[in-house]
Amino acid sequence: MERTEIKDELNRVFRKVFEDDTIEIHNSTTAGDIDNWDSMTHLMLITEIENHFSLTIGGMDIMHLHNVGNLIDLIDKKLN
Amino acid sequence: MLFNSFEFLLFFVIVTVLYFSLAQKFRWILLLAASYYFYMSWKAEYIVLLLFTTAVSYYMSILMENAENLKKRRFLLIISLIVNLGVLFFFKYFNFLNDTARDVLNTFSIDYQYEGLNILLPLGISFYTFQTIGYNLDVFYSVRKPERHFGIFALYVSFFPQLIAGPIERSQSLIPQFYEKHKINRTRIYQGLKLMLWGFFKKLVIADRLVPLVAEGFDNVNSYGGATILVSTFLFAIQLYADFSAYSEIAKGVAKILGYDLMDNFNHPFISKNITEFWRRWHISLSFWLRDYLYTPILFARKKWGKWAIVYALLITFLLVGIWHGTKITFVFLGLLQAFALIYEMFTKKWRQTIANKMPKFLYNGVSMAITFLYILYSFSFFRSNSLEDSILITQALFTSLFDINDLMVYISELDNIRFIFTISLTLLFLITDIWVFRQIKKENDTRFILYILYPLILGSILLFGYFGEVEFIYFKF
Repeated sequence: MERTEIKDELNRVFRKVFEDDTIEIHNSTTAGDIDNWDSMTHLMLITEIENHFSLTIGGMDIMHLHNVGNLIDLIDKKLN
Repeated sequence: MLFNSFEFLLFFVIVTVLYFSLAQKFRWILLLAASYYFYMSWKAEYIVLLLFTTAVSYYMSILMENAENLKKRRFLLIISLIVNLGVLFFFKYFNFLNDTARDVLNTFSIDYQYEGLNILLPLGISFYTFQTIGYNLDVFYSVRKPERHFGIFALYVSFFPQLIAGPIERSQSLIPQFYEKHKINRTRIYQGLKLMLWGFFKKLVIADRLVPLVAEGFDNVNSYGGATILVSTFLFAIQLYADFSAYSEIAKGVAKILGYDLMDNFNHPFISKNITEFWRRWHISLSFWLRDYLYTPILFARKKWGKWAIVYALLITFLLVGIWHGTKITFVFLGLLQAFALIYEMFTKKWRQTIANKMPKFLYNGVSMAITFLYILYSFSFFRSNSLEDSILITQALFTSLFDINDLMVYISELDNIRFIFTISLTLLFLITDIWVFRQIKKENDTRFILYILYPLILGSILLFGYFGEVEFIYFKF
């Protein structure tokens, strides 16, 4: 999957998890930029990403996720 | 040496002058020597522990980097954690565990008389241990490469402004600063002095003056009713805030003068509208450390549990926070109260939002702040309480005799009416102006009013009303 494809799919996941059709993610987006992003939604987000992309995000991966760009990189790495 | 002592001020002036006189390549040596001297001024022997933690963390991290596989890497991490936490654990809990073991064994008529060791908790051990563990975990998770320069790493572990009571700094934030060349900068010195000024005001004029008022209530819980207990608890919350935030601000100011940026540790916690927000405003460096190195790993290890993973992670995290404070069961209550509030807030987030939408913002926020503040006061009472029995009495008093104000007069007269009114006035003035004053301090360009009236006023207050008995900072015990 191309990076741009990943970003589009991920955007769809974000819109679903945060129940907001207006969300547009960028590489620099962080938890502070999206309303209602807390532990619970963060957990839901990670679980939803795992299901959607059929991959596993583990303990070693979590520590590197500071913004959406990191998330896209991670998905890219795991899929390709 | 305490920040609030002439010895420290002299030490700091000398270190600063030497720092800016030396070439950049020698500055880390000066700071390291100064930091070790600073630490040894309490109990020289304990420098061995600091060196030990430093050496183990340094070597384990380099070995981790070269490890062939994850299993070996994890093994090295565990050794590092066992050693670092082991030292902390030993000093904090050995005697308590020994006493408990003795009680249990004696109950079963097994002859065990060992009285335990006469050990003093090394100053700052929690803070430098957590800071080092954070570094080890960052290396383990490949968030950073190990620092190769042993001297710089040793300085990161022992940097004197934040060695004893934080803020707990991330290595990615602090270590690079030790490589930067800092020129004497008037603005930085000025900003640093302002932070120190406000810190000294909070410590000498507010926190230290509140000590006897708080002690009168908490040391005589039997004699007082709910109203007095509430007043004592309120004053304790202010004392703790003033004391701890003062230390952090003096640390930040001292570091700033030398050219280093430390993180903010407090952000007006008592205006929090809920406990979740409180933990973003109170002891921020610890809160973020707990979130990143304890809470998040536990949470994601159990992510299959969904919401219950959050409950689990919160309970464990705050149980440990409670226990970390000490071996009294009251500290466990302190931790659990935080966990319960956070869990409650998580489960009721949507419901509370619905209620918020139904009323004017100022009303919702006002009520939220009041409820949150009272909850914080109640949890803090466990921090200060001398025993579980006292905490039970405190709880009873708060819930059954809150409006009994007769003994409030007794309480005030025990402390001397004039002194009480004076201290309360200063305290209330401080509370009302805290946010505004701090905003002025942060500004780099001060108006003439601020410069010629506010700061001299603060300095004057310190000189006139400050308590110069050199009282230790509360968090030195941890």
